[in-house]
Amino acid sequence: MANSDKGIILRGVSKRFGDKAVLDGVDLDIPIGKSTVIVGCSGTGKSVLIKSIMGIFPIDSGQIWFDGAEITSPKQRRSIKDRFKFGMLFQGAALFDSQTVWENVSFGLVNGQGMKRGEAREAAVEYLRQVGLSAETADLLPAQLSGGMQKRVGLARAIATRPDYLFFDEPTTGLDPIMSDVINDLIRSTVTSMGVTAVSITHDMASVRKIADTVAMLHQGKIVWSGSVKQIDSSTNSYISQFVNGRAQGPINTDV
Amino acid sequence: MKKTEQHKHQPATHQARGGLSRIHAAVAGLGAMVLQFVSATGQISVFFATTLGQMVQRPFYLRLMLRQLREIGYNSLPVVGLTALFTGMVLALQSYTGFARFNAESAIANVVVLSMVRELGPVLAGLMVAGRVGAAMAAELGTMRVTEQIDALQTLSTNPYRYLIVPRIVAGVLALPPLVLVADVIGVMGGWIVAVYKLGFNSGAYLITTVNIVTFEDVFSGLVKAAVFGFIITGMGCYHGFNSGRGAQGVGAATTRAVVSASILILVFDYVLTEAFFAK
Repeated sequence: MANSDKGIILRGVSKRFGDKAVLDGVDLDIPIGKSTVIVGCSGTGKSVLIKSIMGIFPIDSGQIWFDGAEITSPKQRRSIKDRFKFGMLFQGAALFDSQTVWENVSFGLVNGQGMKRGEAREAAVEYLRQVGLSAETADLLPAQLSGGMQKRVGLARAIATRPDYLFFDEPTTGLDPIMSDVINDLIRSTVTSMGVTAVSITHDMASVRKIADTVAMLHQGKIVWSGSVKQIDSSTNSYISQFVNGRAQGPINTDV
Repeated sequence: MKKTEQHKHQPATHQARGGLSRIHAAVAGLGAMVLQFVSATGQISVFFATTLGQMVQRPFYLRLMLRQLREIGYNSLPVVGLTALFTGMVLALQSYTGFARFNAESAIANVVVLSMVRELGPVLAGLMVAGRVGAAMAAELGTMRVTEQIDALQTLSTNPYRYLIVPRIVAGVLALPPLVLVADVIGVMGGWIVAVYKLGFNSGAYLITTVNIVTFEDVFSGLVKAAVFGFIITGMGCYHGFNSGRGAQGVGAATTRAVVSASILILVFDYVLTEAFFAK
């Protein structure tokens, strides 16, 4: 089965961990060249969804296409490995703590593309500059950086391989509102300037309004609403309305 | 009257039911253990099959392997050397007090060198390295798993088995034999120190006896054991760390499992290899 549509398409994607169905038949269209944000409450499977798209978690059933090429199975995914490049900014930045900042940023260039270390260091300094960090940070270890700086380094590492698809897992979690805004601006400008297809997950509405072109809401393993970012405030969908307005009352069960 | 009979029968029925439920619980428990064992064996087999498959594929991370060689081999020298030194010394002292009872003190040099080279050198070095390196590997990889660093490797077009596991296991197999060779020499010298300076043996005669009694097969069997133990230590450290549970508790449990399983496997394979080399 082939699908000629551009972008990322998910059909009936399911994933279980033991008895718990985390994703339960997810259908989602992620348009090419746009920034799509997936929202949802904590523990609804947003991270699992993004990692399933990335191939970090193999899915139990359903299908995934990248630009018309099916990549559901690991074998199919390997066959398009050279066609698409991916980058991801993890929730905790996931920097390699035994390596310096520049080694982290240039990791994909050295290990994935075989770039020489001297050349890679220069490239890393340039990517650090793009995310607002000076050349002096290049030789520091990740443990010597603040949370916001770690996120910037994570972003520099994600964009260093010039990816076609960028994924952001809760990019502003744990940051103060000002640093969150700085990271949101960086994501928006990076996505726009590089023309990549971006997929982010967050429950931070300020992030959604800043970085999203389109929004999808995940609840109990299913997409319950999707639409343009302009529609989120006017939507009559009870799920997105409850989430956007942060109300305890509504169809989303808030019992703990 | 009928009612009384019913009451009489009730305790017997309850007892029978209680007995059946206990048997049922015992069988269910046994079944769960068997399933868990089969599942764990399957997971370990898949892990090592994947690792072996990745060993023969490019790129080879030589720099990482050399770093692990230094960590496993060179940095373990002090702890392994001290262990071997005092083991050799104790061995000489104990042998002397035992052999003196039937005037066989002259056999001390033989006992020390054969025990060290065949058995104590590889086993004690293996156990010390399991505690030092196996635990560190499990903790490092477990932390990388928990903080999503292993996931990050995948997003950067790097196979985590090839990048993290293969260099560690290859370094373990290569580092342990020279480490054990050094331990053998230090252990023998420990025995020599006690024999010469405490028990009054002739230095030259002790060393000549030592050299004459030891054969190539003795040394070779110890080195083969060392290589196998190197595989076990790094393999268990990597497996448990790579599959660590969440949080600090998960990493702690992975570290404990890595050391315990490696230690037990070292003792089991020590017997298996001794049987293979020396059983007539």
